[in-house]
Amino acid sequence: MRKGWLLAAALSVALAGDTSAQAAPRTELKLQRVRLDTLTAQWRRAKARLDAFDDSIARSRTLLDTIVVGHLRVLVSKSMRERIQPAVAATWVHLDSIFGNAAVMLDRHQFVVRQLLDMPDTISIGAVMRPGFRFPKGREIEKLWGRFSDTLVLRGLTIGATHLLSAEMDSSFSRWLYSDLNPDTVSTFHWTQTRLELLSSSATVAQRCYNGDIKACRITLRLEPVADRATEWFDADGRRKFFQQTFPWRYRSPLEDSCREGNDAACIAAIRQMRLFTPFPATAVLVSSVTQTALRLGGRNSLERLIKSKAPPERALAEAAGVPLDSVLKVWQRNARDARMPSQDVSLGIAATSLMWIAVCGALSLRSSRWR
Amino acid sequence: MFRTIVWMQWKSTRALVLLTTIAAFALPLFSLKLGLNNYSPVGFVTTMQTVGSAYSILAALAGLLVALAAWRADHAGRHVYALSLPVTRPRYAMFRFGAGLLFMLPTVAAMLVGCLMVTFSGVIPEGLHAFPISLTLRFALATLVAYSIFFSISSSTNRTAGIIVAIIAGVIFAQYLLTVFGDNRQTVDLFDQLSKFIFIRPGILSVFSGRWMLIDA
Repeated sequence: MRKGWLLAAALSVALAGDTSAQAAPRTELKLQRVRLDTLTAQWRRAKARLDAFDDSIARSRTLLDTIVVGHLRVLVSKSMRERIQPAVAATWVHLDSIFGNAAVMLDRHQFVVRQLLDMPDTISIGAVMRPGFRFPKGREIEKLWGRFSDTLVLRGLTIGATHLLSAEMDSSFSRWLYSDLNPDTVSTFHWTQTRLELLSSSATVAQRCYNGDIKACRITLRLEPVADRATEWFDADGRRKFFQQTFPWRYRSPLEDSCREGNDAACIAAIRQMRLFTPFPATAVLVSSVTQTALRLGGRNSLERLIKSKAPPERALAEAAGVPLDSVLKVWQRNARDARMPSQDVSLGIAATSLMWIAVCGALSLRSSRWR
Repeated sequence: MFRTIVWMQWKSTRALVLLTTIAAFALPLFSLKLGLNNYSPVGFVTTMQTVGSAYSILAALAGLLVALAAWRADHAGRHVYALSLPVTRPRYAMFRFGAGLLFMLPTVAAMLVGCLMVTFSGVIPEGLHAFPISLTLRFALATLVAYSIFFSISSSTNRTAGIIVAIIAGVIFAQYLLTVFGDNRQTVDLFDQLSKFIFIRPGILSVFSGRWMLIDA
């Protein structure tokens, strides 16, 4: 009997141990099931989103229509075709006038004007590089978006087209240019900026260029290699002023201090030592305006010649302009010097508006019945 | 009678005119001094641009002070003097308005002298140009616009002033309602629209907006 009790007790202990040993995998199982359910739900949500995305892409593809004007090919949302057509036509006229024969190159690429789904009156404009050009599968670049207007379409397509043509240029010219090509005529404002940049450069070679020294212009614009920046970019006075004015806050090395005190040899040595803070006389404004000058001188084929040229910038500019580089630089220097913005202080419009309001306010004060 | 009104108005205005005249003369010289602190023409032009707003503020201030001074004696005397004169109210207001216009002349002339002194100082950086006449003309127009506006407000009744305040309050309240209840993407910015209406030509204050440049590229 006692043995039976002992056996029962041992069995129950063993069973209890077995039960607790089984409980752990069950809990684990439950946890795994919960995890699986969560993951399944997440997968379903992700798949639904992917399906929706694929569907929207498919829909947007099917809804896109093509407008071709000249060599400009624009994919547009079908619903906007009628509205966009005149803007595309106007853009082509504009592009043809500024790109000349190079506008032909645009037919290698295409543009996309999409209507944003959640904002009915808002569009996005993109330029699509052809597959194989720079990127194996092509690439959409330069997006501009905003409320639909003819001006926005013109601006967006012009930016995109300019970007695409800039990408067609030789890489050495692109590097020299810093930024996208601007084939349009240089505005008076741009000329005044050019003049200010030349006069404000800490490198005295830029001021010599402003005063008509064409060789100095070549150096300023990085169209002629420079062996020693310290002596070719600056004169003695310029070197000293450079350290007095440009870097007064920097750590003052004994060499720079000696330069500030008038030791020209120290100035030369200090500039030769400089690596990071060297002032570059050729700013983006200057190289852009000289390129625009060359394109204007070269006529309708100039941009095409520039893009096709694989020569270094100094030769590419001359090829584009169809005249020697020095002639381009002479015209550029003269324009930078002579172009003058009219005063914006007063105009006939400002005067007429002011006089009108003076008359209106005067008449109102006469009409008042304050003490009658 | 006009002479008498001019004389009386001059007595209450001359201190203010003197003040604005000195300021108008000094401002171009002050802007030149600030500009010369720069090493480059770009910095010079930037400084001129910064100081440009001071010209418009001075013009507004000159107009305001002279306009308020024109009616101060009448407001203080409850228009008794004006009522004792054998003239109609519009004619009297016209005399006051004309007298105030005359008092603008010294300030405008001082501005012209200051601008010309800067122009012929010989220290303007190479490549930059001075526009003394056009800046003075604009200053004169802005001063007169400010004067006319404040003269008109000052001559109006309390009811008119109330209407102006009510319109401003109405715009603020309408903008509040649009912001709270409107669709964020479609909400019209009334302040923006109003400022465009006022400051962009042919807005009443358009002469004050834009660049005021004595020296520019």
